[in-house]
Amino acid sequence: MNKLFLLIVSFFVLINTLNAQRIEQDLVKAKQLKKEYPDEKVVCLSSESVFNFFITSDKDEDMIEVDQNTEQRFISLIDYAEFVTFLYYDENSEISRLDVRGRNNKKESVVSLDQEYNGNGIFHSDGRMKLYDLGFDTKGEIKRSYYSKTYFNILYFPSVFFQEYFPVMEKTLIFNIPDWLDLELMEQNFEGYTFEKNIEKNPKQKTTTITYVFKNLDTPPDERKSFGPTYYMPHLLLLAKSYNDKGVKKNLFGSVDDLYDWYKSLVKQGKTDREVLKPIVEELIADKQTDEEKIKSIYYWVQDNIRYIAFEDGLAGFKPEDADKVYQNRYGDCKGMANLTKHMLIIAGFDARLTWLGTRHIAYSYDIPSLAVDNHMICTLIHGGKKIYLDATEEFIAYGALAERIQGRQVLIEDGDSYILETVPVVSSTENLQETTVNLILENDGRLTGTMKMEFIGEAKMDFQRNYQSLSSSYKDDALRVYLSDGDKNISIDKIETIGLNDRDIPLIIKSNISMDNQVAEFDDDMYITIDKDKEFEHFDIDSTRFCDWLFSYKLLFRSEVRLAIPEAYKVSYCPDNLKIITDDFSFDISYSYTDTELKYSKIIEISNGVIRKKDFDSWNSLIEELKKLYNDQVILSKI
Amino acid sequence: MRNLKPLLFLILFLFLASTSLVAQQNSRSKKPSELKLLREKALQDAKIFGNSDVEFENLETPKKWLDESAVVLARKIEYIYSNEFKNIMFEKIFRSRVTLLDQSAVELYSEFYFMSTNEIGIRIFKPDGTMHVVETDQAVEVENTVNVPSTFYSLKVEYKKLAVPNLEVGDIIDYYYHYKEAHINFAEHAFEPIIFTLSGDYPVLFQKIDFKVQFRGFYINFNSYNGADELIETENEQTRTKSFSFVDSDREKLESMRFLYKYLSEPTIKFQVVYSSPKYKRTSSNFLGEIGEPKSHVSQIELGEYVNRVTASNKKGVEYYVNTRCGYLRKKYSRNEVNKRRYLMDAYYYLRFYVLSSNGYDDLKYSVNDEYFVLIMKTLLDRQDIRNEIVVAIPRSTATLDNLLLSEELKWLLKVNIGNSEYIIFTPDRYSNMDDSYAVAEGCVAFAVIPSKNIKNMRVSEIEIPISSAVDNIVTKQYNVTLSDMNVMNIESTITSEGISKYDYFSSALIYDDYVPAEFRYFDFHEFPETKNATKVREQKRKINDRQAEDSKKREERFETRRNRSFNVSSFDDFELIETGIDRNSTSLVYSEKFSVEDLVKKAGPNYMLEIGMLIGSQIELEEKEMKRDKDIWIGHAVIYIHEINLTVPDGYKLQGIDKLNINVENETGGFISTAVLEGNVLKINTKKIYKNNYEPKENWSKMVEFIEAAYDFTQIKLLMKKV
Repeated sequence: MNKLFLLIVSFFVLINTLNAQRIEQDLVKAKQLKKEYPDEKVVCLSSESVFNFFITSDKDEDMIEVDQNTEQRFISLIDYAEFVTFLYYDENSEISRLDVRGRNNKKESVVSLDQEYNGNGIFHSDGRMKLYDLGFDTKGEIKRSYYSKTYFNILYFPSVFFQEYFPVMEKTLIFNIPDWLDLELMEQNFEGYTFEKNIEKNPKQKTTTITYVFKNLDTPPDERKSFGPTYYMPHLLLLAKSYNDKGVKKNLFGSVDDLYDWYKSLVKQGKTDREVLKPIVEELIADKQTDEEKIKSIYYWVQDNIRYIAFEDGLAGFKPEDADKVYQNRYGDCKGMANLTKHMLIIAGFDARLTWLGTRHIAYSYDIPSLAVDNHMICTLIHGGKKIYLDATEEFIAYGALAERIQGRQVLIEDGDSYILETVPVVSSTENLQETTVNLILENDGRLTGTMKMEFIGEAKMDFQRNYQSLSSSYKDDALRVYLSDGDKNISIDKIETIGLNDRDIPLIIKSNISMDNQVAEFDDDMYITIDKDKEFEHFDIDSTRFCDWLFSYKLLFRSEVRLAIPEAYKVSYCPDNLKIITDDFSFDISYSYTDTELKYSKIIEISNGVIRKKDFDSWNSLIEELKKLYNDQVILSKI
Repeated sequence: MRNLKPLLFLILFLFLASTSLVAQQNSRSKKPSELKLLREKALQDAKIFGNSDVEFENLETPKKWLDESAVVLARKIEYIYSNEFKNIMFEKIFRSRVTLLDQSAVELYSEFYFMSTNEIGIRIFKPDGTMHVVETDQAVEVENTVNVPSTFYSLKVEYKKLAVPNLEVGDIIDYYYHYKEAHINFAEHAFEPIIFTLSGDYPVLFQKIDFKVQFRGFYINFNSYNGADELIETENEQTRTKSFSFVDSDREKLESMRFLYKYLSEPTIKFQVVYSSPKYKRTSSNFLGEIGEPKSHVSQIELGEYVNRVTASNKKGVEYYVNTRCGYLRKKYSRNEVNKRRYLMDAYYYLRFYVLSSNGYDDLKYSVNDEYFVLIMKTLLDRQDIRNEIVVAIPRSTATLDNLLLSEELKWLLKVNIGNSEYIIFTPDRYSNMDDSYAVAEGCVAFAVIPSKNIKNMRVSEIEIPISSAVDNIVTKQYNVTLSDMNVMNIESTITSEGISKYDYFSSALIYDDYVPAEFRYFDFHEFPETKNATKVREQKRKINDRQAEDSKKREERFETRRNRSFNVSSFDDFELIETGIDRNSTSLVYSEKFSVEDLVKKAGPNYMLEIGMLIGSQIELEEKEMKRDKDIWIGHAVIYIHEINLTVPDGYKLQGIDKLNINVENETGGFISTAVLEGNVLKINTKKIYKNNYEPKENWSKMVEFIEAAYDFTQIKLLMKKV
């Protein structure tokens, strides 16, 4: 009896000691991690997800369902940490289980909040988030979270990313792929990461288990003005090619042919009633003589009259809305607008096709048969043997012009039961020129007065239009004046004349008179003059610790020239140094020159590929330093 | 009335016909219950759109407004108050017909937001006169109300949104909201008070407000101000209702203007309907007139009676609060405390402590209700026989006391007299000090009331809320400026703000830990209710942790943004809080900062140009159109902004242009005065911008412009630092 008692006591003592040791170890671990992650309250020690695959039937249609079971171990790096995490789901998925276990594996009650998750510019979507709070009490405390998520159709589950929005010390993804399923896991952006991969055949279960283990995953950068995450975050594309159902091979997305067939099947479900569109098309082309006039008339009408409003609800995320419905609604998403453009052009007698593509936000091309490849739809007009890409979601775009986000992108153009793969041409920054010419004289009262002319084409013009046209009419005049004067009270603008503001086919020209106070400071016989009022990029330093390249909305080209008449009895006694730096991606060429009667300041700035690459951040920043010096320097006119 | 019935049926029929097309399209896919809803909706549309107001027949937009973004052709708000069985019913129908004249207006209305409790109807008139009915059952819930544009936003409630089809520039959108609610027949129920200006974002051709109230139990307070028209009354014996109409037309849109209180300058109406059964009239917490007769004015006596009523009805609650919550004071002070001022201060700061610590005590949120605060304070003072009077005032931004109409407009204060000293005590917020001036109603006429059980003994007198002068509200910024690398200004600054001015700086200067824990220690309280419940304790600690982290992050962010407003700070190096400004012994907020600025030194050959004027921060930049003004000027408060700048000139350079820094513009409205002298190698600049009063008549605007412009011109002054 005594022995038994002793044994029991020793057992509990041992358990307690072990517990105490474990707590001590966890605390040490937390302290170490806090050094590594000083900004984090909680990190994930391990996250393991197991994916299993099943065939299910829904409305006579077989689908491959994916079940995900995930266990995550979190450790708190501080005492009393609040930590809210979330799970994403939508119409194609559900979260069926969510448990949190704390000390001694004790189950805790989970309070979760269900919330709408709408992406940018989406009016309504089926995306939802389940938020839940893991509250920690002590540093080194460990909590486990378990959840199960089901994706009803593998085709709507095209990729898995490894990183989370918290650091993960060890991330494991295990795929138990049944032999009846032909699934390729395509690795993306693995370079530079420490990982292990293991493939194991399980003849008994008739499965192959593929395991990936990634170590020390930081939170991904959340940086504006960057390419989409598919360019730099490690992830897997799940390419479900086919499956074998009772000896019969059934295709999923084995190739781009299958992807196209599926898209086409959705398009065929559409029931556009062209009769509804006929009157408007006839009206639009009635007085138009040439094909180009007719096409423009239709294309511009869609841009001007159909508002972009996107519903991403289940299949609506993939199926183009019927063109007559879009016309009647006067709104639609990109697919609806492309479909309307197509049908209107067909009615007018042209060959117009729906066209799928991934914008430059996405890293992939159609070599990969997956729904992850595209995110946009436009209309391709085949005319005179040429393909002309029409994207009516781009407000104010001219016929023949190509928006930056689709340039260089591969497109999938419908062609009956087949399709055409093409690449959208890339145009240079000269297509987006913004040019300013200013002629100034120096008045006796010290003001610089004269004329200014600004000219915009391409994306520069569209950018201006988007901002200007969204303003309320009653503020437009004021806003234009503020724009031209940079909101500087010293600069007054009058006699504004605009050309091409409502005409897509010609450059936008804004002419005005300009008068600038306080740009000239007079001391003794010298006049110090600030000649550049715009000073583009003056404060454009880029944080060199930034992870992603800096991406501009489009390729930029600024050209400007300021001419100042030198007053009689004065001469230029000092001019700032010129600046000329040319690289593959950007060039700055700023110079002063003068004669006895005129000072000329000329500036050309080009961001030729619309991007500043990470490798160039240091040279870019030193360029900006040089630029600041130049902008900060003054011209001196001295009495002769 | 009987003749109207066939007409109504005709309109109804036309409506059902117009909507039936839509219904037919959908009928195949809709269940019977949904079809029933559709029919009900069609009936409602018919009732509201079929309204007999001729103004709603208009589709013509006045030519003078064609350059506007949108024009309201007609707007009507109907409020119907009735008494059915044991319920008080309230119904609101808002209808508006708007011409959309540009893309921004179309964008606004094409994503149409509305409260989920409302029913809506929308029709669109095309320029050719055709009319389309919009299906509204496709609306979706909005979960994040942050996205709701202000045009549609009214309260933090659930919203829906609808993508409105077929909307283009030139269209007229005709829409309504219909809201209905029922209240169980309480003794008294005050419906939401409404105060609004007749002009808004868009010009209005015609607008009308109708109330319909049953004869029994409803009291109306209504008045119009600043040139708005009067109410028109009609009575219907049959339905035993009274109707009141307010009509306004040809109203230009509200132009934004600085130093303006719109309720004081623009045509404005105010109203509220209260249901009260007669026997409760004597205890009412509203200003009730006669049933069915709109009340338009509140007399001094009524106001006194009202204060008396509210005091009496809260007596028990207040006594309970004082007895259970104010043990600290009871313990510390005997019944006949000699040092009355010390007691007053302690009582005030004790109650302020409840406000600033209310994060921890959820049940004390009531303490910020100003009637309750004043009554508690009064009770505490009465117990020490400290002379006090309840003061009721109206915020100077909403009305003057002559225009008082609704009890919600009032602010409660307490006038306390100790010896020869008089204090106006008001409900504290977390930053208030007992001696602070009451900025909300500075200089306003108010009533002081000594309530009494016997109404005959009640005393009411007129007083003026003391007004602070500019010297009470000084903001001083001392900058010691040195140059490094010739182009970087390194600035060590000390910022002191006093009086009401410091309220502009509190939220960016103070974080919770700077001042709340000290208050807990002073009153010997624990920050959270003591509990042995381990889960609660843990929750509390997590809250503290999170708050601390959030607070310091917020302070950093706020300082960054605040700095960026006036000049481009290239690095922000240090911040030190010297005085909190909310301490009972020191009421100045003082802190120091170190930061560097790059943009203010410009090279000019071998010399440098200093944009020295910019150091006083951004100043008001008046636009050309602002130079003339036809509305009076309301300024937050009188104030002086002082800058004391010491700039050390680097060796080998001399300054040119210092004389330009000597400016003196001063008149009865304010001034801008600056002086500059060179002492050794230190340039000493002193500037002072003064707003002498918190109000100026419009005639004085040109005088204000003088010093506002002088201050702006100062920011443009440059000095030449010439190489010797």
